[in-house]
Amino acid sequence: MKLSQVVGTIAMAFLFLAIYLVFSYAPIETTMLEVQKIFYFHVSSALTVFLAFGVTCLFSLLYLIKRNDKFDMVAAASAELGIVFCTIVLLTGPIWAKPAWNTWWNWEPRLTSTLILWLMYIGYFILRSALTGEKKKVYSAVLGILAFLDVPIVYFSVEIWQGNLHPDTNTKWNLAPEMVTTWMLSWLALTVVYVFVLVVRYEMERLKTRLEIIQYQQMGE
Amino acid sequence: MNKGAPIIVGVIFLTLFGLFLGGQVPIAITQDEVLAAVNDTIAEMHAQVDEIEVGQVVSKSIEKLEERQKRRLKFLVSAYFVIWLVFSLYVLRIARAQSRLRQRLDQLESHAKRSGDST
Repeated sequence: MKLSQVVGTIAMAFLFLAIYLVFSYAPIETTMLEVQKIFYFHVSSALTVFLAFGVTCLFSLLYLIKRNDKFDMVAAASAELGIVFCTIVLLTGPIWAKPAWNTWWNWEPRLTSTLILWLMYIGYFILRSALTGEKKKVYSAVLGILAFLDVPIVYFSVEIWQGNLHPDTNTKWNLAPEMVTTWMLSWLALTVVYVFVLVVRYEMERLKTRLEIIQYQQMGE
Repeated sequence: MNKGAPIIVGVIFLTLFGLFLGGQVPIAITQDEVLAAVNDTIAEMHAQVDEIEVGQVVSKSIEKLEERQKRRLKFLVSAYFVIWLVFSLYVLRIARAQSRLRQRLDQLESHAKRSGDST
């Protein structure tokens, strides 16, 4: 059994369990009632975004130091996953905001900085598609590091700009133990899903490189 | 990655979601049941109240509560549907790209083997 299959099976099992806990185990919150159940995957996705862009930053840095193509592959794969999870955050956020705040979108600090983060990593892929060879890897590594600077800004945005819709980092969450368990498991499930897709994407990048080598060899013949 | 992965994920999600919705649907109470319950309570209390008016208020309140719950569930379903849609589309995209890559690689490898055999 390949590594990706093992991680994939674990990811599916965790997702299955997380969904079961969200809908059948976690109690209904008293203020927002059923809508609060969006929290489990919305917040967990946001935390996975931080992880994904953190990995991109780390491997971009490693690429700039070691100039090993494998690091560039991991950085790009992780950035792509970060965009996917960030898209989920940006789409589920307004769906939660409408019944909770009575508006789909508000230009409050966390929402705005998260949108900027998403746009920055979209820019990362625009840059990658516009360049080739060593230039593509070096420039995207630099952008991968610079774009990560927005992650702490997103995290502390509510405190920095005194936002009043999202809770700040000092807020004590009064969650029932069942809610905490469900949240932690949802977060774990999404992290395992992230690892699984990262492994698959990395394998894909390796296939692509192998393909390019064969094509290059055949052109030489 | 298996091509059917998104379908499997989708089916699992829909099954669980169906179970959730099946268990969470508001209890349907008919107008007659509400009126009967109100009448019984008034009779037990021996109080002088307009039974029809009270019955109407109670059933209207239940309707409102059900409407509010339906609205909340609509948002909840939409959020999880969006999550699954994004995941499924992404997994589908990866699966397609991977199978295209493998196909191309097989073609090139067999071509290389053939040209190696001929020389």
